[in-house]
Amino acid sequence: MSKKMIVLKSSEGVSFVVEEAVARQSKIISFLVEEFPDRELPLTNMTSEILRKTIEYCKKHVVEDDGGGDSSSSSSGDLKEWDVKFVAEIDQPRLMDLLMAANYLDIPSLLDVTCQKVADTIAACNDEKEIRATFNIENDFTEEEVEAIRMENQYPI
Amino acid sequence: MKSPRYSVSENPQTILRRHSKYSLPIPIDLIIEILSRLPLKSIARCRCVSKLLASILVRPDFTDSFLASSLAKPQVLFACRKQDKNEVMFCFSTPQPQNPEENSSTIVANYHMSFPFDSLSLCSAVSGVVCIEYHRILKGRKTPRPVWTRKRYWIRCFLGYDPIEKQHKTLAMTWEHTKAQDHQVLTLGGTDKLAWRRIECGIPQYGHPGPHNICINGVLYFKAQANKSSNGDGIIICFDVRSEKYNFVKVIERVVVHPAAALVNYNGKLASVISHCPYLFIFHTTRSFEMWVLQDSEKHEWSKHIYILPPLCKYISPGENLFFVGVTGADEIVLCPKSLFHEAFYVYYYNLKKGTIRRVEIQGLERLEGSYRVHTFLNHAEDAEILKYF
Repeated sequence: MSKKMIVLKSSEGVSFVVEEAVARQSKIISFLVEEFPDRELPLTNMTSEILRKTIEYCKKHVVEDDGGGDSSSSSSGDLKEWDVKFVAEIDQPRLMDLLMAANYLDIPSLLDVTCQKVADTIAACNDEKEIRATFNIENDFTEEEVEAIRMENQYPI
Repeated sequence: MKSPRYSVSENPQTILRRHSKYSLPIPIDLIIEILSRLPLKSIARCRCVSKLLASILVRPDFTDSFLASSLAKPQVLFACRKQDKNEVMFCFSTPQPQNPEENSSTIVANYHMSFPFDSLSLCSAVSGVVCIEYHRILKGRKTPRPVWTRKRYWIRCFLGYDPIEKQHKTLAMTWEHTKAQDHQVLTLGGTDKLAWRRIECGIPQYGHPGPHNICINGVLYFKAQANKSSNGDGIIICFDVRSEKYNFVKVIERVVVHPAAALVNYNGKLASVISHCPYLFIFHTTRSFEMWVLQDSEKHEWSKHIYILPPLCKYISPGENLFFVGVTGADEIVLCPKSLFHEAFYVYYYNLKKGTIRRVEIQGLERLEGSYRVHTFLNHAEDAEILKYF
């Protein structure tokens, strides 16, 4: 039996043909496929690059029904390792885009790994300047204000 | 994970900025989700990053989410006190094994902080705050000293946490063998200046409070001795942190309040654990211990359980001894030594159901030079509220 395919369209208008089982890991797509079968689904707030990454993740995580019950294409330990490598290879701005995509499409496991990667990145920063530089955040504190918070923290910063 | 978040920050400034052409600001809920996964040390750093980020870190939805996330991954806290003239306390932590089947044999400890330490003893640790007799808190700030009506008494100080009002309180008193008096309470946090308040004891007089104590679900328990008019027996004092009311529980056998018995939280119930011979401590020859679990505090009902230990001689040498630290959520009694020299430091987990023991080597403490006294606390969680305390 041939697998059912669906078409997802990025913000640049690029179409991606994906197996339905892969795309259904997104709860939103799952819902849309049922409501609007046989229609191309436009994802206007996702670039082709991010959509391609998201599909790559979903392909790896798809649970295939091979007739003898559900079996994942990889063991859970391997998957975890793959996830770590997957997010490690993405640069900071794209990681934030992927996190937003996981949130928008409602893919809980992808949201979890991307949130954890952002948290790990913040935790690896040695001071507030490094956090600002990493995430391109503007400093709207005066030096005195920062000093006052540091005193208040009284925590090894 | 919760359902997707579409709410967009009201503030036009993005918090964690994205670069792409189609960027939208990250919703605050997602920012809270990310920040809740950080250690408290990073939260303190984030307060200095931007005004918007600082404003999120004091929101109750953030502090609640942070505490819940921290409670879900409890840590073992090691407070190592140097045994020489210039005393310094070094604090480390490791993740607390959640699953007895994990069976990892080594864990690396994370260093938290150090601070000068000039008092007699460390008394308790609750939700990320450690109380040290008589006036120091883990954050490294001193609370004011209580003013005592009478001088030259011993002083005892305990820390409790009220999970309903989400408040830490310290209870302090002067004491002698038959009498504890001048009971005072200090509420940490809030915007008012920290001040001790006198409270009524309201139960028959007791003496010799603590030092062992534990706070379970808003009730602080410690051992004490009833005065002679009520037969001089050992009792357990129960102090309700929220109402600041005292109560007490009688014990069936004196061993429950023996100085060597450890008070532990056994699945939300107070329990007292003590080794059988020799000498009520745990040596390489100790083969069993007993646990008394408080079943009903109003009826003074306790249940007694005896556990058989596997031979400890392959782990500890003659002359060494272990102490009960507490019980994990996975029904494992935790034992460890109280001294640290240059050699490896081990924590032992005894499975109450299976009667098996496993040991985990704690790496990272070896960077301390000299000999140390180690205070170990289980179920340590970090609470971002404490950043507001002082």
